[in-house]
Amino acid sequence: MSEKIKKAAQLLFFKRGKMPGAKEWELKIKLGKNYKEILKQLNEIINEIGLEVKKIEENRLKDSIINSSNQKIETRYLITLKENLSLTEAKTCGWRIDNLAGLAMIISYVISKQGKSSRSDIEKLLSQKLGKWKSINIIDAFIRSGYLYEDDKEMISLGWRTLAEVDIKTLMKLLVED
Amino acid sequence: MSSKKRLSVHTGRKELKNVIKTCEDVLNRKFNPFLLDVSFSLEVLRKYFPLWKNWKDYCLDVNAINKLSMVINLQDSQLKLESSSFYINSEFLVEKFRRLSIEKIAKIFLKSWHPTIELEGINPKILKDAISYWRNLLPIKERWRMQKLVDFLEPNYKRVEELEKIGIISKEFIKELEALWKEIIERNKTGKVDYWNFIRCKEYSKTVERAYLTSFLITYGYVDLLEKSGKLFLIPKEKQETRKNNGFFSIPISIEREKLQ
Repeated sequence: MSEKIKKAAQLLFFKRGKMPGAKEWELKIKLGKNYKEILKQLNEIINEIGLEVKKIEENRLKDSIINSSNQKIETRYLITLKENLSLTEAKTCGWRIDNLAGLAMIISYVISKQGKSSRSDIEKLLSQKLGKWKSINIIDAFIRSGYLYEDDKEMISLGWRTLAEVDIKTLMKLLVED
Repeated sequence: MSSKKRLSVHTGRKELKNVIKTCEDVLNRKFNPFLLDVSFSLEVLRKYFPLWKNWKDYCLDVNAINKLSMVINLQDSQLKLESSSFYINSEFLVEKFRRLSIEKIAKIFLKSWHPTIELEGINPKILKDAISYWRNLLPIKERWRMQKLVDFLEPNYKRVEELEKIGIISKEFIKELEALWKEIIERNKTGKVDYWNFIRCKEYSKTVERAYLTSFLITYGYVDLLEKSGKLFLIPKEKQETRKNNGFFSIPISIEREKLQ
């Protein structure tokens, strides 16, 4: 069992493709049918160092065959930080304050617009605080890193990384309360 | 009377186009979905429906109905959102951001953010590939020279024999494609050809090979791939048809060993 936990840790920690973590079917093949139990044990181990195993559902297949109603939902497991980072810690990880604030503004604005908003509206919103060029650049950067998704009509929605990393309910609650 | 009717048809088309445009604006989140009076729009559609005589007008009518149903769907999810704890009015949010400092917004975000942990590793295989890539890489001057040569090359045609000589295609490959195409045509005579049934073989490698060859037949326009009620069908053509250039796209089909068994 301990060998399988090691294998699970390797699969989830090491980035192999564009996205971190591993798909459910991949874990099933490499860890066996009781992969959920193995992940549970791995979760218990990494909890002690402030990490956790998270399950996310990807339901956006960009090149869905012919019909968009045929969207598959694929489950992916990855590892996230259990606790929150302080501003200093986030800076140490390479994040700028205005990028963090920009991401918060975009996510909450997109949620308030039912999960989809035009890129121009978001640029307008951000430019009040960050300036026009910075706004354009950070939107592109967030799209590249998977926090946002842009369709061919320049409509922005939340990307897989936002769904995996951000506790949207808490974010919206804190914004209302403050 | 007839000129009045023509005018009405013309006005009707205009009004329907207006309805569609408004619906699209709502769907693109330019307006609140409740700003559109759905029953009034349906009344407009009903008023002009008896005037439609050709299929283009019927298509316009169907399009308007479709867009209106999408707006109703959006109204429904708007109601659900407003009754959930996620809901904040977007104008209120914009006002809030105007008041809050960047640092304050960043601090709020940090309380709800749990970043992903990912490591990038290196192993002997990657190192080996990197060394081989580096060894085979031409000096930059050479690469620039080649780039320039390529830029000035005019597109031209090559005969099949010439392509064979330089190893781009082989007769065997063409024969295999032809055989597969004939097989699809034969099978199609007795009923629709299911994609998965067609490519499936006892050996996994054979299955992949058939899928690979079939993909060429689809790309070259010898066979069409159609999706119907969740199933994929191969529709052969009598002769090759060049695809209209309305944006080429790839259809990735994953051939998972365990699913085939």
